Amino acid sequence: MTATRGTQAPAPAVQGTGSAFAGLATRMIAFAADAIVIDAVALFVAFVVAAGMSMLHVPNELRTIAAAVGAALAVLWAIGYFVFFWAADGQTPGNRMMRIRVEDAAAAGPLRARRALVRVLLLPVSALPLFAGYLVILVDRRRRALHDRVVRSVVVYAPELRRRIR
Amino acid sequence: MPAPAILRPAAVAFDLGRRAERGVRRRVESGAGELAERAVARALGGRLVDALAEDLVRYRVVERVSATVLAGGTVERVLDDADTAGLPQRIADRLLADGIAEQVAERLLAGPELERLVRLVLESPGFARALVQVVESRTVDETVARVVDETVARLPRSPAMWNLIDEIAGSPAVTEAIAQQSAGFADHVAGTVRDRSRTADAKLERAAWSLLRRRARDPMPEGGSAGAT
Repeated sequence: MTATRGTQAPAPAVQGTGSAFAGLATRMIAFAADAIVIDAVALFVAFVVAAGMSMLHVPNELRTIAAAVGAALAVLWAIGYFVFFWAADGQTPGNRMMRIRVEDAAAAGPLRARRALVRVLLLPVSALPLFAGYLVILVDRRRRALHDRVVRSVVVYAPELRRRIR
Repeated sequence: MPAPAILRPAAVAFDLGRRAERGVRRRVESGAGELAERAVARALGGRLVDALAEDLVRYRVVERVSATVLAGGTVERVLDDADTAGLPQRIADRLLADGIAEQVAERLLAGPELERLVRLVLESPGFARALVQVVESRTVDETVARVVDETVARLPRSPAMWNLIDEIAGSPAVTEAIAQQSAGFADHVAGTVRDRSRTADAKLERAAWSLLRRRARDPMPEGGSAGAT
């Protein structure tokens, strides 16, 4: 099968049960947590705006335009969320919860903002062909998805951060 | 008004007579008093009292007198009269006004008698039995249930209780404890999810690799779709 060509067996277990790179289940849970955060914020903002607009007499055309602008803002918000956190320290809140980090495969540091933006835009591309871009994680030596391969990033398990004790 | 000269001797004589009469009377009175005291003292010191007491007992004088008094309703009348005259109230007022009640209470609290009395009551088996009967009685159960119901019904309407709850909920110790508890619980849940997800990562990967190896080992059947295309 062509999918197995050029791939090797997974790296030996690091830190217990898996390799040093985050696997599919962990990444999906982190993504779901991020989605919850993004949707919660977007819904709250939408609720506040809708409540404010309900106090005013707004024509239907304007409502349609406002809905389109809101949708665009929601998309921008989601994109900005991932770009900001990946470019800052490689950890979105969901990643932080699952203790994983998105890193530059070569420099072992956070991605540049432009590459983080490309990575976000490639997420739907990886998901479109029946999530085939994500299933690559299962057979890749460094557990990379399609968008990871394109932007040359990896997702690694982050070491536990010791909480400062007062 | 001064007496005429002719009557002066008579007036002097009358005055002397009066003085003599007073002196005699004083002596008689003091002598009679002393005599009476002596007589009474002798009577009390002698057998008269014993004999009188024996006669009182022998002839049941006290019983007869008390029976007569009781039968005649004398006690009731005396008590009614006392009640009508407000005697208990006056006695109570007097006790309170003079501070006698305070003195009695102070003496009771300061002295060991009250402690002895309380200890005696508490250690007595009768008190324990009575207490058990009281506690297990249906009346107490109903009373407690009614009080609890009324308290529960009144508490939510009480501003003082809500102030107390606000004070407790807003206290730094409580909020810190809740925050620590929540953080600890969230950490525990997140840790469990992390462990399980990493185990799932490894299992999924093993399953994928075993599937790929099996397909790579299996020969392509003749006349299959690949050969057909």
